[in-house]
Amino acid sequence: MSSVASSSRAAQAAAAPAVPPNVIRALALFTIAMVTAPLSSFYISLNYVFGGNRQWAGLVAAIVANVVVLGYVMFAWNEDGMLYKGSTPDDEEETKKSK
Amino acid sequence: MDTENELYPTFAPFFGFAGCASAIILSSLGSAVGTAKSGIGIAGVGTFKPELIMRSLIPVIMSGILAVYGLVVSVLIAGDMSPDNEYSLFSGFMHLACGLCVGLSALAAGYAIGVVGDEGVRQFMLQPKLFVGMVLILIFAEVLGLYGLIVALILNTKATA
Repeated sequence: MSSVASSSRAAQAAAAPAVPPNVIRALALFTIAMVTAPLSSFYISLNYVFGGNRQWAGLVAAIVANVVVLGYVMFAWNEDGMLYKGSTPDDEEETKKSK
Repeated sequence: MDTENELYPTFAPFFGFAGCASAIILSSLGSAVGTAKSGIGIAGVGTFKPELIMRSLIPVIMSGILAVYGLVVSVLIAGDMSPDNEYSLFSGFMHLACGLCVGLSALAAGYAIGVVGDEGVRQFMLQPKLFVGMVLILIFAEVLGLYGLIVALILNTKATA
């Protein structure tokens, strides 16, 4: 009996994606931003804003990196666990009982 | 000629390159410690409450910032190094101080983020109200690396003066 329950749960897990696509998209966005935003802001501000003054460009890169972190903290704060509603243990218990 | 050799010795760039290397190596070491130790905690939380993983990833993001600090200082130092220019012993020691400032303070910040991230996300699983406190502690730990970066940037302005 337990093997039947576990196989049905495995089938359910295989049918529903383990991680929702919007979470994947957000994680990819923040990963790309984390790599490219400080470096690109360093070189863009170095060449176009400060005219070769590397100290200020470095400071701008550090500030931009912190802005990315702030964005992630606010994203995680607003996320509120809503994206994973389908995969919580409570829901699995309910579906098992209904069956 | 004699004083010039004393002020611009041939071994002066050694200290500059040592500073450039220590900036990125030590800050990456701090970032690695923070990522690995908080990753252990996140793996422990994820098996029980997978919906909390996104919030628990904040210490990892904070650790990533520390490597960016070291990268910025390393790029700054590398920009001042050139085989064509005369490189004074003063510049060499100054660049070594820049690299050690940002590297060691990022190492300290990464260690703090690792300890707080590991224990913080585990207790956050049991008490969700801990989130704001955990983020504040992580920000204060991460600011230690920022102080090192600021001192390194201020020191770096002395090269051209």
